[in-house]
Amino acid sequence: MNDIILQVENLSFTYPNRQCALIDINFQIEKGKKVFFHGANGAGKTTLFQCLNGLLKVRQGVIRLNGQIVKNERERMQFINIVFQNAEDQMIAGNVFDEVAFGPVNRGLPKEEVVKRVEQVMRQMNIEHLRNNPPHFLSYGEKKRVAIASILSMEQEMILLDEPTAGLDARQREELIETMNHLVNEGRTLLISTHDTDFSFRCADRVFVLHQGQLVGEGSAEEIFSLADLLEKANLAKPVLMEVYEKLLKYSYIKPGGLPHDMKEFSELLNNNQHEQ
Amino acid sequence: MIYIDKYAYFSGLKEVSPPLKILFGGTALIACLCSKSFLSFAIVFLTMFYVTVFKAKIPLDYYIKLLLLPFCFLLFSVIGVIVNFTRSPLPDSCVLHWCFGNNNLFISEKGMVLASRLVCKSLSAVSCLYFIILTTPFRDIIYFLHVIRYPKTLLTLTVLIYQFIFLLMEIATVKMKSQLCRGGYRTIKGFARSFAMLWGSVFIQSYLKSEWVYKSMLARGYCGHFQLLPKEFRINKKEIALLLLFFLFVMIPNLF
Repeated sequence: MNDIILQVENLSFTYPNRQCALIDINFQIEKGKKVFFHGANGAGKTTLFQCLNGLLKVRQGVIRLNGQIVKNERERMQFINIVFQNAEDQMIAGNVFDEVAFGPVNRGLPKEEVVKRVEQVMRQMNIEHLRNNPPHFLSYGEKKRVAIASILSMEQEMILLDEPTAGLDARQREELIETMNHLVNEGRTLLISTHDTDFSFRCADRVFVLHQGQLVGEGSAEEIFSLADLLEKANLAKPVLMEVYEKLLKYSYIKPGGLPHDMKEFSELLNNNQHEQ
Repeated sequence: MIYIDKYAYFSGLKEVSPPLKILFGGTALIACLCSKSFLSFAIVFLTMFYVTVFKAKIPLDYYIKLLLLPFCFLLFSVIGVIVNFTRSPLPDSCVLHWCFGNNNLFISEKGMVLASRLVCKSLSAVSCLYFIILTTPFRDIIYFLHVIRYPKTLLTLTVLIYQFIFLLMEIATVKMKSQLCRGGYRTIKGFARSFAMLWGSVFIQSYLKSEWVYKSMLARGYCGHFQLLPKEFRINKKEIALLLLFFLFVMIPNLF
């Protein structure tokens, strides 16, 4: 069993117009995992993320980081950060370098350290050539990379990604997945909210499902996506690969075992079955 | 603050016809501005308070917060009315005074009465406007203005300004959040830096966004002013009579 990095107990949240956004949420998250949150629009994913990170004040419920209760919003922000859904919303500086440096400078780090971090992160996100460009006029994929870089440069343990694949093309998506794997290998924990079930089926270590402010499902991707009722309830589509696998199994084109999570595994599965026949 | 116009859509009076609400608020406002008596102000303020908080069900704490906003402005402006300056000898009615050689600063009874009247009048007038804002959705106010033949150009300006204020506020709010996440606004220096960067980028982005909004309007046949579908606004004689009665009721204390 890994270390538990985040524990949420009895978290509820109500907006000022008395709209209940989260109702009695309980869960815990292990360190170094990719955890996906699913749910229809308005189910409370973004609200949950903002509560965790401290943008919204939590009045009911407890949030523990590494076992300790952290009530102060600012302390939580030091530890957890959000990459916003719309990258444009994050752009505040005159050029990409300043944008990425914004967080570290606010931390009060010495200049050399800031420059070192920014250079490293820009290399990692492949935006070095954009350093002097104004962020507002970049393409969407570039903006997204700058937005992620400006969070990475703060070197926090936990990063929340709100709809990270929205608006990305196929190649940018692959790059994003690569970056995510890289971050997890570094020991960081990622929480991702998304509608894209193929994406989470491929990458998730654990999947949570929200429905009308309540946590209605928790488990591995395979467990969650085999629950037809739950998918129906939360407006989720079954991952294509899983659907295809089940159809192939049903018409006995393949033998049971080894549910594939990406196209590579799927080709292997087909290959193996062909050899056996 | 962004909720100020959202309450109108959820208020307990959303079923009441918009012109009645606007005319009620308007009548009270005119009555209040024409009055001199404290009793009139009290009637207007208490009526508006009752209707807004108990009938429209606007949360009390929010309503008080809203009232405090103009109240702060008021307090500062009232200082100028209360405190007077003279070089000649002090008048008899002065309550408090400070002398600096030949120069006298003083507070007179007359000034006090004037100031308190000003405060009461302004607050009760503001309560009328809050009643309209908090119970009538902006869309209905626009329709009302349309029906009473408010000039088209001004109407279009009103709509556009209203829309773009929210655009600006939305962008600023979300950007501020993203800055908070990255440790902005923690120190005085950081505050100044973050704030400057915020507005620099808010203006660029809202300019870009407003251009898209404008393009989307053009694409849908916008040609200089908003066309509104004619909508029937009915108000019956009984309601008009009641409004007149209310007006007279507020004005009565002025006779004594």
